[in-house]
Amino acid sequence: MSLAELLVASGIMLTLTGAVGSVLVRAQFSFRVQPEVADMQQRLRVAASTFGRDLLMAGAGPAFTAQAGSLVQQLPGVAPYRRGQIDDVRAGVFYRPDTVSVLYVSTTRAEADIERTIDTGRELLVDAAPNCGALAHERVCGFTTGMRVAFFDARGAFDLGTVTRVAGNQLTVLYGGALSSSYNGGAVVAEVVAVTYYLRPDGVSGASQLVRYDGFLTDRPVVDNVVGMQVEYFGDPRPPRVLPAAAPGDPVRPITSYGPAPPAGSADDPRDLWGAGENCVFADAGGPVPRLGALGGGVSPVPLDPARLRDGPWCPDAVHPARFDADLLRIRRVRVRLRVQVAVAAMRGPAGRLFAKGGIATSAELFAPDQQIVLDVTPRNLGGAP
Amino acid sequence: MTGEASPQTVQHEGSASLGQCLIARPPGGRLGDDRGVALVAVLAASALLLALGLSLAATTAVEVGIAANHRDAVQTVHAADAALEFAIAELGTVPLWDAVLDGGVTSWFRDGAGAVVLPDGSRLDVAAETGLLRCGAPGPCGDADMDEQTAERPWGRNNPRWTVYASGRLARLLREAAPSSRAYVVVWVGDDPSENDAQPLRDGGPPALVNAANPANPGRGALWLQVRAYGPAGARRTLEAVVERDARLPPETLRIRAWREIM
Repeated sequence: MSLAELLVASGIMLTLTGAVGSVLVRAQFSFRVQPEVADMQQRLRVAASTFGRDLLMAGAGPAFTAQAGSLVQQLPGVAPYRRGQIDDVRAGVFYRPDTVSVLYVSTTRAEADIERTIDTGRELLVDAAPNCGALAHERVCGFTTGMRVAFFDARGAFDLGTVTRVAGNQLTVLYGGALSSSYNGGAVVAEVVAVTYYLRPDGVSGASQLVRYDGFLTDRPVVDNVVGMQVEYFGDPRPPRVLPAAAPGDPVRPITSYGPAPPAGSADDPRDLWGAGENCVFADAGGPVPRLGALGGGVSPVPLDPARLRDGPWCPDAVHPARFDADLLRIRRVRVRLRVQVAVAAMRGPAGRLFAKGGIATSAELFAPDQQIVLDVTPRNLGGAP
Repeated sequence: MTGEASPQTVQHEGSASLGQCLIARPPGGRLGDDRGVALVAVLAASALLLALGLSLAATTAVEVGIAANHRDAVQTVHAADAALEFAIAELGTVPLWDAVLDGGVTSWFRDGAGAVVLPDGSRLDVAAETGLLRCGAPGPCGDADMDEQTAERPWGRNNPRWTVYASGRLARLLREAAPSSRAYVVVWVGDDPSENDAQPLRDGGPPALVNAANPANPGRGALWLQVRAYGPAGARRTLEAVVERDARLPPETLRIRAWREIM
């Protein structure tokens, strides 16, 4: 082999090696970036699954008590703030753009009408109406120690607690703080899921975590490195209405299209500030007149302005410790936008369209742009009456 | 060491090129014989590329699998929901639910198959699944088994006696020529347990025991449904709903009293 041949061969070899090396370097970039992209997608799937399932069931009420049916008859299944034993309402916060709470009765086995209660200051002793039996309803079934339950009444008052004892037809329920209301005849106790999803700043990543609060004491991270969450609500544009009375002898059915029923026969409910025959969704003008106006002329859900969700009218009334805006009872559809970022700062470029929070990447080949999902959920239990 | 020559440098004479000079000659080796080197190089390169390729394929396969499982799970929930919606719409047209509860009236969408091959190749025994719902055991259930009070079925003689109302491949229900769903769905109906008539095959009979706790039968005009969808790759999703009649609603319309996904 001559020197010329050697030089040519070396040149070709160097060129090929360089080309292969360049490809391998790019491949190495891809090998580094793609798992992180997959990780972002996987985190979004987890969020969609967790969120989606809870939102889908939002508003499911008891199925076999005197107040059977969707929670939309009493209280909102979805709300834009934290609810539970540590809640936003007691701090005067009624709207957060990156928070959504969901409430639903999770099973048909643990639900019962309340006959009477005794408040000991820390626990509520609940005499529950029989909900099971060998031949007819003669005892209380379904409740177990440690179960998370809610009490709620027809006015929309509700509180959460934990069953600490079951003895015959009596439940002992430990509640946190103070009860917002008293619960006697006409109220319901049922096992519930009362969760809140919200963003919590994460000091480690500089981004936020999507956190699921269980309504009691535990805040559990669901997804890391979240850089954006926005919740939009779509509601029934029609005002609530009182449905025609059921025929005598017919089974008990909802009284309103949504929202608490007004006191019958212009009676006054001494537990609230509303006048005789009135409540938070109906005024009395010789008959029940809705306090909520129409939002356009259609029937399909319309976007609800956040201001509308915190300006009243308030249920059960404006001074109730667990009050809520009556417009929350309109909610029929929820849209969640969730945006996550890659965990590695070396794969994030400057802040802008691709990155909500900038990183230290110097090469576009190492960019792993933020990813976003838009989740539209129509909770099956918030339909209201046709 | 005896018999072994140390490596040495051989200086070629005459017209020997530079490349042939200064070649370390292994002891006993044949100078300049490079046959087989290409094979070694190719094998080494192939092994490297194979490792890279396998790594990439494995990563991709896992990600594809995760995405596919997620898709199947979501599709299976919606398959169950579609079957539930269908059943609710059809049940609204049935004037008396007693015949539905005793199995006398079923949907047109009931294939009657006892054993079904599911999309993932496993076999589904519909009768065994029905038995599990009725009495917690696969297979036929006697009256005493079905009336037994358990944590799952605490209503004794008012326990629902689940009966298949509709079953089949969702694609058939949707009348799709090119099926977009491979899910198989089964809809069971049962009497709602707020009833106190001790007649699980009758909707709204008089209370079996009239007393302060049971002055009337509150369960009239309500029906309990369970729907299970069996999707690809072992995906299973179960929904339950309680539906009710209301004379104030448009004809043949039922209200959904509660809708839940069961884990």
